[in-house]
Amino acid sequence: MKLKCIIVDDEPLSRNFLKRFCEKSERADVKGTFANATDAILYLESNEVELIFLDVEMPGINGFQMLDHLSNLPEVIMTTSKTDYAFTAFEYNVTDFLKKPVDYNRFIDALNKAEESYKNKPAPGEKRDIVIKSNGDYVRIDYDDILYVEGMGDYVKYVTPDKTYITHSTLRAVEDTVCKTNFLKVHRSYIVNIKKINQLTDNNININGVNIPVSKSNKAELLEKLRTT
Amino acid sequence: MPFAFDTKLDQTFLESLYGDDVQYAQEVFEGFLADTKNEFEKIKSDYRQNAVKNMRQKLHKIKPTFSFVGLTALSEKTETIIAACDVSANTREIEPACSVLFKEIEDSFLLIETELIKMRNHT
Repeated sequence: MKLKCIIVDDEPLSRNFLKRFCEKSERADVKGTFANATDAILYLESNEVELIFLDVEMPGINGFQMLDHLSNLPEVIMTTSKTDYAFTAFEYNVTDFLKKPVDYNRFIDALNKAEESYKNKPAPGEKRDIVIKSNGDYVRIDYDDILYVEGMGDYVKYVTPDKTYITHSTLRAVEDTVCKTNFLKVHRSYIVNIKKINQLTDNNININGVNIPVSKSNKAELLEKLRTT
Repeated sequence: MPFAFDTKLDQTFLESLYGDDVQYAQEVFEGFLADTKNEFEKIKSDYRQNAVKNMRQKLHKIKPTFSFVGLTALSEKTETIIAACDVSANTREIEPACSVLFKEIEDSFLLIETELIKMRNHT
């Protein structure tokens, strides 16, 4: 996996170091380096990247102001020589915060975080939660909380660690809406959250103490998902 | 034989940064002298013209570059002056500290030039 990235820093040596670290890691593909935020914003208007290495203090638009200009935020690793900005960086929900001068090991830690966060990010248009009608009430369920979904004819059962919700729907409809990265139909009656699987035996998986059957036809895909998710 | 950085420089950090890639270290040291010397002249000009804000901005810009050539302590001293710039209306208020810093920066250029010659001669 190679994240498409740009580097935004007014200081040439810092830019070169980050570029070199990206090349050395072979895990980040540097699509451009920019000495100011304005040029980077222009670039991002017509190009998509998955990661930005962003300096905080720059002449003109600073790093945080640049983030304000962007509607779709990729992973962001802030780089600065002052730790004073750490709290603001936290408020902007950036992936990581690197203090200059950055050493290679710390850089790799940040890159690991960015990769992990990128993998877990919903695709554009993909939702993080679902609203269902259960027992006459509308309930919002975060996809991350769902252990599995069980189909029961014209009804489905959403199972979370704390509660079970039954709603009028079909497993097919659920399959069309859930995040394809984390969910998989493993049986004609079950869609499971891959991340919640505790154990896989011959033709069963165990999630939170519940055994769920796996169809022969779905097993290969499940194993592949478990390897890559 | 591995290259040994001068003991006046932050050897541990430089070794973690460059490993045995002396050629890259050489490129960075050359870049440092080319860019930072030039920027330093502008800083001194800002100082003479009492342009505290401009001076602060340029000091902030060159601060991390000191670390890239192993001048970690100088990077920290620069931060102190940057902080002083934030609360000073004119350069006269921070004159003693600036004089010391400027002298150390000038001395550091000589040290880095010597180190660069050592690297060029290293086989």
